[in-house]
Amino acid sequence: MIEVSHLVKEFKIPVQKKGRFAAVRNLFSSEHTIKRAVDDITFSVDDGEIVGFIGKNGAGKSTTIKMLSGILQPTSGNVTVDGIKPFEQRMENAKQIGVVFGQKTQLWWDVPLIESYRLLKEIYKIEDGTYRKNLDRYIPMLDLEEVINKPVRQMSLGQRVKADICAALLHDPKILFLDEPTIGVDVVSKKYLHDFISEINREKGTTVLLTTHDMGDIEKLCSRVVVIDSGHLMYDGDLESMVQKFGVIRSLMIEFDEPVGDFQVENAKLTRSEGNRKWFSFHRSEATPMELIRSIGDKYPVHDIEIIEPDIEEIVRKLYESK
Amino acid sequence: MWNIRLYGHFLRVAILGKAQYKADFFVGIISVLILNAVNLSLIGILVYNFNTLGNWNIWDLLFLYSFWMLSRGIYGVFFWHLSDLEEMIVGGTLDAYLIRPVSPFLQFIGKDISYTGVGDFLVGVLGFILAAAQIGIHWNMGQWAYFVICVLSGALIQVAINLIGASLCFWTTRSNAAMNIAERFTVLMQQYPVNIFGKYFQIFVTCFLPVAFINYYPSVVLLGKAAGGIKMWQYFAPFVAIIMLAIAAVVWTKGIKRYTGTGN
Amino acid sequence: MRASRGISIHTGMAFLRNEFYNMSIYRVSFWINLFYTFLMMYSVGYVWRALYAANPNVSGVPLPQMISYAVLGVALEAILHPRNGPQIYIMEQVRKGTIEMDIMKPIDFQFYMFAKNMGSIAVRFLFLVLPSLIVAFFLFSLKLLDLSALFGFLCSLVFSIIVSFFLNFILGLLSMITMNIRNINWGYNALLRFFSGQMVPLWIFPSALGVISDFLPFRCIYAIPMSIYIGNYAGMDMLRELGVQFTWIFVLGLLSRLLMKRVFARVMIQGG
Repeated sequence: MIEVSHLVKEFKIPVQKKGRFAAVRNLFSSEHTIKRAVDDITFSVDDGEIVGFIGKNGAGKSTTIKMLSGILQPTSGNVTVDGIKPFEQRMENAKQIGVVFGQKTQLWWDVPLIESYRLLKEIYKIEDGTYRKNLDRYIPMLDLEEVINKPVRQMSLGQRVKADICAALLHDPKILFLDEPTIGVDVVSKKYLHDFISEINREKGTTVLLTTHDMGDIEKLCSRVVVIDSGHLMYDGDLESMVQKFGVIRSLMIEFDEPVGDFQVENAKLTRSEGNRKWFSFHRSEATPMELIRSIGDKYPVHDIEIIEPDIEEIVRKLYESK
Repeated sequence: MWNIRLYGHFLRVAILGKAQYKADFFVGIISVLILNAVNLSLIGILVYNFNTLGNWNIWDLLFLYSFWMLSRGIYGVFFWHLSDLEEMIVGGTLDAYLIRPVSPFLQFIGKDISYTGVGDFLVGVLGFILAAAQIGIHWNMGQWAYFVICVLSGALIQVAINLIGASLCFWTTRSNAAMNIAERFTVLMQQYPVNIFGKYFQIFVTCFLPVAFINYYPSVVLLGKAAGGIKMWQYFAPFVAIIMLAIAAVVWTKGIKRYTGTGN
Repeated sequence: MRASRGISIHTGMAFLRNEFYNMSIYRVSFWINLFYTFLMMYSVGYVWRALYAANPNVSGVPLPQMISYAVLGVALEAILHPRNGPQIYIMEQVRKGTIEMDIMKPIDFQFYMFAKNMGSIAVRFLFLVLPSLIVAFFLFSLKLLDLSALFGFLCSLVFSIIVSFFLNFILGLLSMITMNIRNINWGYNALLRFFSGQMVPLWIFPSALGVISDFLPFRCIYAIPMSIYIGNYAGMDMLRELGVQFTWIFVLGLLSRLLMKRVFARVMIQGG
C-alpha cells in the first residue's frame, strides 16, 4: 500500500548571524545551511495495517507524513501510495487519503460542524448515499451528536480531534495519516478515538499510519512500529520483538506478609522499598520472574507479586542509546 | 464549471461564519465610513483652500476617489484576506489545502469574505452619485459599459497586486510588510490625480506598479481630463488587469511550488 | 516616569540591540520600509507643489517650508505611527493570555513598555528615518535649522514621542479590560490622522475644526515639532508650544498611572 525507498528530504535553513555587527550583516545577506530532516528511509506498509511511527520531536516523522500526503516534494528517493506518487499526482493522491493533524484543525472554525462536512462532501464529490451512511455511522461512534450543530471554535480539544477524524474519513479513503492525533486529548475522547480507529480498520480495511508520543496509542492500536531518530530509521518490526529486544530490563514487585529488611538477590537489583513492598529489576536474559520468586519465597513469606514490563518510552530510549 | 460551483459552496460557508458575529458587521462598516470621511475631509480641506489640484476640482477628485472605492469594495469583499497568507504559511495551516483534491488557490480565496469592502463600496456609490450630479455627466451606453468594465478591471488589478505581494511570503516570511506598503502607497496614489507627481512617478505607476489604471486613467478618459487629447493606451485598464492577473498567477504557482519543495 | 529596580543604561542598550536585531532578521521588510518612507517623502512633495502651482499664497507659508513640513510628517510617521506602539504588543499578550507575566515582572510595567518602545523608536529612527531624511535633504533641499530652532525641535520631538507613548499605552491598558479594542484603536487612528496635522497642516483647517484641534493632544505629536522645524513657532511661540506639550505629558502621564493601577487591580482579581 505504501512503499518508501531511500527517501531523503533536505531543508534550507537561514542562519541568523552571531557576533559583532551581526544585525548589520543580517541586513545585507543571508546564509543558509542544509538540514537533512529525513535521511535515507526505507519501509513499506501493507494493505490494512496500522503502523505506529515514533520518534522524538524533530526526528522527521511529520516531514515523512507530509511527503506521503503530497504536501512536500522529496529531495530524493521514491514514495508511492497505492501505486500513486503523492507529489507528482497530488490531486489523485488526495482522493485516496485522509489526513489529520492533531495540532491544527482542517475544519471551518466559525460554522456549525455539519457545514464543514457538507462542504467536504462537495470537495471530495462524495455520493449522497455514502455520505449519509458514513455520517450516520461515524457520529454516534465518536459521540459527536451533541456538537454536530456547534461551531468548531466552541468545542473542546477532544471533540475537535474526533470531529477532524470523522471529516478525514467521510470520503472512504484507503489510507489514513494521523499526525499526533491524541496530543492533549482527554482520556475519554482518547478511548473513543482508539475504538473508532480499530473499528474502521477492521471493517473497511483502511490502512493507518500514525505518529504519536503517546505509547498508549501504540499499545492499543499498532501491531507494528517504525522508529526514527534524526531522520534515520532505527527500528522497523512488530511491537512484540521490539519489547523482547530492547525491553530487556523488567521489574518485579513483591508484597510480603510483614515488613522485611533490605536484602540482596542473585541476578536482580533492589530498586525501591515501601512498607511491605519491594521492587527488583532484572535483565531478561539473566533471570525469570519464577526463579526470583522461588529464591525470595524460600526466605520470606510472599503475599502478592506483580511483573512490570518496560513501557515503550523506556524501550525507545534504550533503542536510541543502543545506536 | 465544477470549480465555480464549489467556490459558491465555499462562499456560503464563509458567509455563515461571518453571520456569527453580527455586531462586528455594523461596527466594521461604520469604521470604514469614518476612515473614508477622514480621508475625504482632508482632501476637502486642501482643495477648499487651494481651489484645485493639478486642474482637478473638488468634484473631479470625489469622482476619482469614488471610482477607486467602487473597485476597492469589490476587491475587498472577496479578496481582503489575501494578507492572511503569511500567517497561514508560518502557522502551517496552508498544508490543509494541499491534501484535498481541489486547487489550493480556490480553497484560499474561498476561505473568507470581508464586510469592510461593503463599506467601501457604499462610499463609492454615494460619492459617485454626488460627483456625477455636480459634474453633470451625460454618458452614452458605451461610456457606461466602459465605466463598469473599468471598475471591475480596477478590482482585478488590486487582486493581482495584492496576490503578488502576498505570494512573496513564499520566499521570505514576514513579507506582509510589502503588502502593507503597497496598500498604503495605493491609498495615497488613488486620492490624488497622478499627473501632479511628475514624469518618473507617472511611469512607475503606469508601467511597473500600474495602480494608475485602477481609477486615474479611466477617470481621465471619462471626464475628458487629458490635456493633449486622450491617448489610445489610456483606455487599456482591462488589458492591464489581464496582464497583471497572468503575472500574479505565475507568481502564485511558483510560490506554491517553492512551498512544497522546501517546506516550512 | 518612576525609575525602577534593575534598570540602567546597560539594560537600555540591551533593549536597543535586541530591537535592532529583531528588525534585521526580516531583511526584506526592512528594505521595503526604507523604500516606502522615501517614496512617500517624494510624493507628498509633489502634492504640495501641485497645490501651490494653482494658488501660491493661500497657506501663508512659502512652498519650500511647506515641503519640509510634509517630508518631516512622513519621517515622523515612520517612528510614531500607532502600529509601532506598545499597545500592539500589549494586545498580543492579552490575546495569548500571557500579560500577567509581564505585569508581575520585577520592573515597573509602564517603564518596561517605555524602554521597549524607545528601543524600537531609536532603531527605526537610525535606520529608516535618518537615511531617508539625508536623501530627502539633497533631493528636496530640506531647510536646515539654526541652533535655537534645532534645540527647540529636538526638545519638542522628545516631548512628542512621550505624548505618543502615553496615548498608545492608555490604549494598551484599555485592551486589558475591553474586547472591542480593535475598534477603539481604529477610532484613535482616524482621530490622530485628522487632528494631528501630520498630512494637512492645522492652520489651513476651517476655524471651528482648528479650535477643536487646539484642545486635543494629537497636535503635540506631529503639528508642534513640525511647525517648530519650519519656523512657524519661534521665540516665545516656541516656548508656549513646548509648554503645551509638557502640560499634556503631565496630564496623560498622571492619567495613565491612575488607569494602570485600576486596570491591574481588575486584571489581577480576574486572573487570580
